[in-house]
Amino acid sequence: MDPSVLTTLKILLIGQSGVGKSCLLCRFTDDTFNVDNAVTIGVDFKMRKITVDNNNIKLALWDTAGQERFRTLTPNYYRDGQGAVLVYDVSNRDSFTCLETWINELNRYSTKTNIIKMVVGNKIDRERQVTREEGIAFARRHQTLFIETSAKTKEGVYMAFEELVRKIINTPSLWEKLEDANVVRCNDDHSESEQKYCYC
Amino acid sequence: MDKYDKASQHIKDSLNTKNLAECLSQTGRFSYCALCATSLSCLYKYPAHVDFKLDCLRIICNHLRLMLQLPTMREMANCELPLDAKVYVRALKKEEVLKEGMMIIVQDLLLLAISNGIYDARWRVLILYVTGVFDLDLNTVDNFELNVVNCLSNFLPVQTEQEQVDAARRIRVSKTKRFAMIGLASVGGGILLGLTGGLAAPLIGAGLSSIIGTSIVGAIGTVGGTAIVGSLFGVAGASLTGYKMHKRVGDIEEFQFRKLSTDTETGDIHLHITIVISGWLNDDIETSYSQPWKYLRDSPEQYYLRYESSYLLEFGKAMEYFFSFAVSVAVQESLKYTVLSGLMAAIAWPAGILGLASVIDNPWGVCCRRSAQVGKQLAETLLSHSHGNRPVTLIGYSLGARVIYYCLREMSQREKCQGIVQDAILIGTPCTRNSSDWNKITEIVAGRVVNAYCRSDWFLKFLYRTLSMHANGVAGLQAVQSVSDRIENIDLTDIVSGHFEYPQKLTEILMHIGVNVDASAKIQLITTQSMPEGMSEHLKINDNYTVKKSKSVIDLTIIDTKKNEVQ
Repeated sequence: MDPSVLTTLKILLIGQSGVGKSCLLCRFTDDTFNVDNAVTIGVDFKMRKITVDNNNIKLALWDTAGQERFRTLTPNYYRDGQGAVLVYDVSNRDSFTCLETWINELNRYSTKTNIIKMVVGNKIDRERQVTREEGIAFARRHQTLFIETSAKTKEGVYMAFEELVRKIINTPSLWEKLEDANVVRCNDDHSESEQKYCYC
Repeated sequence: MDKYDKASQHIKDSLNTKNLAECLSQTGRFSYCALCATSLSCLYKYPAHVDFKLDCLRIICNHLRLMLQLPTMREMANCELPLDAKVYVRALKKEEVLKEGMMIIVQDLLLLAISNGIYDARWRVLILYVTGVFDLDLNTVDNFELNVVNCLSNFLPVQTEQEQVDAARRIRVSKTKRFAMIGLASVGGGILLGLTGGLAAPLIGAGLSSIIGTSIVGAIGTVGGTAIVGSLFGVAGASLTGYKMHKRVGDIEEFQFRKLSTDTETGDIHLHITIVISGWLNDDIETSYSQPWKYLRDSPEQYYLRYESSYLLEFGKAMEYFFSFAVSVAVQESLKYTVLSGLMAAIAWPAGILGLASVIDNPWGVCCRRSAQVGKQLAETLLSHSHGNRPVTLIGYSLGARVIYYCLREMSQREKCQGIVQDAILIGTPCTRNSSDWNKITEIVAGRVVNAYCRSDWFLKFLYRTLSMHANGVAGLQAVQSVSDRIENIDLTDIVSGHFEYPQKLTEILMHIGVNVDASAKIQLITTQSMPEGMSEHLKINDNYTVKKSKSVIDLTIIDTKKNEVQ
C-alpha cells in the first residue's frame, strides 16, 4: 500500500431510491452530474483519495441501491463500514420520513457500534418539502452529523465527505489497528458525549 | 437422478434455447454475479490471482450483461473479508427460473468456464465452491461435465433426414443429454476447441459441423488445421497414455502414464483428470502400481504414473525385508510409541535396526533423487498441456507424494503455472515441511492442498535420521505450518501406524481426506469398522468443499446401520 496513505475508510451511501445517492457520489468522485442517471443495480463501488487535515485518506465508497427489490442484498455491505451517509431528498417528504427505517437497518447490520453517521439533505436546488430545521432536529435526535447538499450545483458535496472523514479520523478506534483500539477507546468514550455537529 | 430429470425438463420448458441471463431478473443477475465475486474472494487471496479473478468476472459480467458493475465486482472479489454468500443464494431462490433448484446456475457456470476452450482449474474450483454454497451434491458438477463430454462425443455428422430424425429421437430419450445440448448451442463454437486431450481429434472435427456450420470444420480438415487440433487437444491426441518424453529431465529411465481401470459405465473421458502416483512397488507385475488405487473414483478418467520401476521395486523389496525379517513386531510397536511421545530428536535407534540401515539407505537415497527428477518431468508434462486444457488432480503417497511436491515446486517457478492443478493430495510425504516452500505451492494449486501425515511413522523418521532436518522437519511426520490456512493438514495416525501401511489402507485414507471412492468400498470399510474417530474432527474445517464430501460418507453410515437392522 502507498505509505503516504494513512488509512482506507469504508463509507456507505444509504437512502431511499431516487434521492440522488449515485449523483452525489458521481459529483464527489468524478465531478460530473448526469440528470437521468440509471438506477443502481445492487451496489456500486467507487474509490477516491481525499486529504483531510494533512492526512491522505483513501475512501472506498459503496453506493447501495435504494430500490425495494435490492433491500435484502444491501445490508451485506454495511459490515465493517466506518462511515455512513444517509441521504434524503429535501423536495420529497417521503424520503425524509423513511430515513428512520434506514437508520434502524444500519444500526442493526453495521458491525462497528460507533460508526459515524451523517444525514444529508440532497437536492436543495429544488423546491423544499422538508425544512432545514426538521433535518437538524432529526440529526440531533440520532446523534449524527448533518449537512444539506445539491449534487447538481455542487453545493456542500465535498464538504459533506470531508466532514465525515474528519469525524472518523478523530475517532481512532474506528480505523486504527485492533491491538491499540482498546486503549484508545477509553478516551474516546468521553469525547463521544460532546458530539460535535456540523451545521452548514 | 430424479431431481435431475425434473430440472432438465424444467429448463427445457422455460428456457428452451434461451440464455439464462435473459431469464433472470436484474436482482437475480446481480446476485449471481456477486455470489461468484464473493466466492472468488474466499478462494483466491494471493496477489497472483488478481488477474484471473478479473478475467473470470469479466466473462461472468459480460454473460449477465452487467459490464458496468465490473469494477464493483472486482472490488468484492478482492476484499479481505468476504461478504455473506447466503444473502445472494436467498435472493436467487426467489427467481422463477430457479424454482426447481440451483443446478441451472451450476451448469451455466460450467459452460461459461469452458467457453473459450480452456477449462481452468480455478474455474472448476469456483464451480465446486458455488455448488457447495447452494448445498448441492458435488457430483452435480461431475454429471454436468459428463453431459458435455457425452454431448461432444455423440455429435457425429448427421447427413440424411432419416438420420436426423433418429438423432432427435435419441436425444428425446435422454433428457440429460438434451439438457447439456441446449446450453452448448447457446455457448457456440469455442467450447469445442481445446476442450480435452481425451477426445479424439477427428471425432471433434466431425461434431463441429453439426453445431456451428462448416467454416471452422473446413479449417480443421486441412493439413494446417490438423496441427491446430493437435495443439489444442494435447500432443497425445487420444489420451495421456500415448505421452512420450520429448525433453528428458535428469537421467529418468521410465516415465509413462497408464489408465487406471475403472468399471464405471460413464465412459472414460472427462473434463477433469486425476493422476495417482504410488510410492514403491512390491512386485514386478503391472497391477502393483494400480492395486492401492483400486477404489479411487475421483474422476472417470484416472491415470497412474509408471516411473523408475526398477528402483521402486528395489526399495519395496528392501522395505519388505526390513520389516518382515529384521525388525520384530515388538520393536516396531515400541518404536511407534517412542516416535509418538515426541522423544524423536534424541532417539537411540536399536542396534539391530542400525545394522540393517545399509539395506535400506541406498535404495532410498536413489529413489529420493529420482522421484524429485520425475516430479520435474511431470511439471514439464503438465505445463506443456499434454493432457489437454483441463484441470488435473494429483494424489500420491510416500515417494509418489514426493514426486508431486517436486512437480509443484518446479511449476511454481514457471510462468503460466496456475490453473492447471486443481487439488494436490500428498500422503506421507518424504520432503521438507518448510512453510515458505509449501506456501509457494498453494499459490499454484487451485483447490485443496492436503498434507496427510502420520505422527507414529518411525520408518520415515529413521530414513531421515542422518539428515539435518530438525529445523523444519519432514512433512510426512507432522503438520505444515501455513501462513494462509490454505494447507489442509490431516493427521492419519489413527488410521495407519507407519509408512508401510499406506498402500493397504489407501482407500480408507482417501475417504478420510474426502476424496471420492467407490461406494462398495465405503460400505465395506464402514461395516468392518475402521472409520476413525477423527472423521468428525475433519468436518469442522470450515470449507464447504470438504464438509460436503464428508457428508456423503456419513449418509452411507446411516444407510448401513439400517441395513444391519433389517438383517
